[in-house]
Parts: sequence; structure tokens; C-alpha cells
Amino acid sequence: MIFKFLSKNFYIGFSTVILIYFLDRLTKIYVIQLDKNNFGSDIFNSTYLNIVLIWNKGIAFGLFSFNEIYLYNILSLMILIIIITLIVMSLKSHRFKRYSLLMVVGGALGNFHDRIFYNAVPDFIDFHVGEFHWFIFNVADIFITTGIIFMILCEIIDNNNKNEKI
Amino acid sequence: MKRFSLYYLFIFALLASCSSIQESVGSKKNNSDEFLVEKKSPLLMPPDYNDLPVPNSEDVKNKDEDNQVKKLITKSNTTDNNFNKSSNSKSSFEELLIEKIKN
Repeated sequence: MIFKFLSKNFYIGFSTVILIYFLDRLTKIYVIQLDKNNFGSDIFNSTYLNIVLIWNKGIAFGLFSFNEIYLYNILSLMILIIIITLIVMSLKSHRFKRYSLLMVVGGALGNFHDRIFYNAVPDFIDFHVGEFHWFIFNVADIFITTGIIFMILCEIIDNNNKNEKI
Repeated sequence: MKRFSLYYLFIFALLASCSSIQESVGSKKNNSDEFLVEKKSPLLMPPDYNDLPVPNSEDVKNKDEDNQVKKLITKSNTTDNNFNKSSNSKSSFEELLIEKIKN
């Protein structure tokens, strides 16, 4: 059963997750260090992009920023269960959908690491046009978002193929 | 299909960690409770405020003069001590020399 997964595809998938995880970690460590050097002020400012470090204790869009530790732990546990489910799903799925899932897993592991060690996730990429600011995100969020978009696309394509067959 | 999309969006919401600019600006900052702030007692004049000397008054000048005299005396004492020490050391040295010559 175990040896079934230890194929070439498994190693490629595993290295994809590790690559995304370490890319995320490197950027976060670099930005946290820059923030320390700049004493908490803006790291980089330009017309469309700012690099500002903020810590998110909640989930996407700053939701559920709990101060209570037990609610935060419940949320972290839910995230861990979802990550494990996604890993199992990626082992069972193939091709494009598999790599979409692995992108989500890699990013999710990066954010989960921060939840465990810092009790918050550092966000630092702030795209803006004039006064309109998009949500501040990090490299892990880029991979999670891209993976989710690809997974939805896969579902749409699969659904269309099924409809054509009928 | 819609069910799956919602499922993926739910996963995205839990796993991603983007946050709004409002938090970075600080509008969602937890403000302290104004009812917990303790009131300080009002400012009062010290009881012996009128007894304090006014600058450039005669008392202050006299005190300054006294201090200067004291300083002069103490300085002279220290110089005397130093001189005595040096003279003592000289005399001892001379004595040593004389003893050596004698021997």
C-alpha cells in the first residue's frame, strides 16, 4: 500500500510541496528581518505595490481574528484536518488536478507553520491603485488561490465533458 | 458543480490568510477601556514653596561665596598634603642616600 505511492509521480509531487513551502518560508523570514531592521515602518513603497508586514491571527480576509486561545486552536485543528484531507485527495487524483491540490497543500503548510510558531500569519504584499487597496497577502496565499482556481476550472471542464457524453 | 465550488471556496477561506488594509492602518485596533483609566490627583503647590530662595537673591549669593571659600580651603589643604608627602618622600630618599654613602 505504501510502496504504491512511492513512485516517480509521488517524488515530483512531494518536491513541489517542499519547494512551495520553502519559497514561502524564505520570503516570510526575509520580510520579517527587513521589518526588524526598519523598526516596523513600511519596507517598500511604490505606485502600485507596497511591502508592509502585518500579522493575521484569523483566516482569509482577516476573518475570525480570535483573541481567545481555545478558538484559535480549534481553527488551527480544522485547518490541519483540511490539509490532511487535501494530501489524501492529491494522492488519489491525477495530472492537472493533482498539481492544483499540491499547490494548495504547499501554501497551506506554509501558513500553518506560522500559525503554530508565531500564532499569526505574516502578510506583506499590498497591491493598490491610488487609495484602493486589495487584501494584503503572502506567497503561500498566491499558491493557495492559484490552486483553488485551477481546481474549480478542473471541475468545470469535467462537468462539461460529462454533459457532452450524455 | 456549484456544491464543489462552494467547497473549494470554503477551503480557500480557511487556508489563505490575506488581511484587509484596515488592520495594517490600525482602525480595528483594540482601544483601551476609558473607565479603567485612573484619575490622577490635581496638581498642588508644595507646602514650603515660599521658603525656597529666589534666584539672584542675597542669600543665594552669600551661600555661593561661602562655598567658594570652602573650596579654596579644601584645595589649599590638599595641596599642602601633597607637598608634605613629596617632602617626606624626598627626606626618606635623602636618608637612604646618606646611609648608602656611609656604608
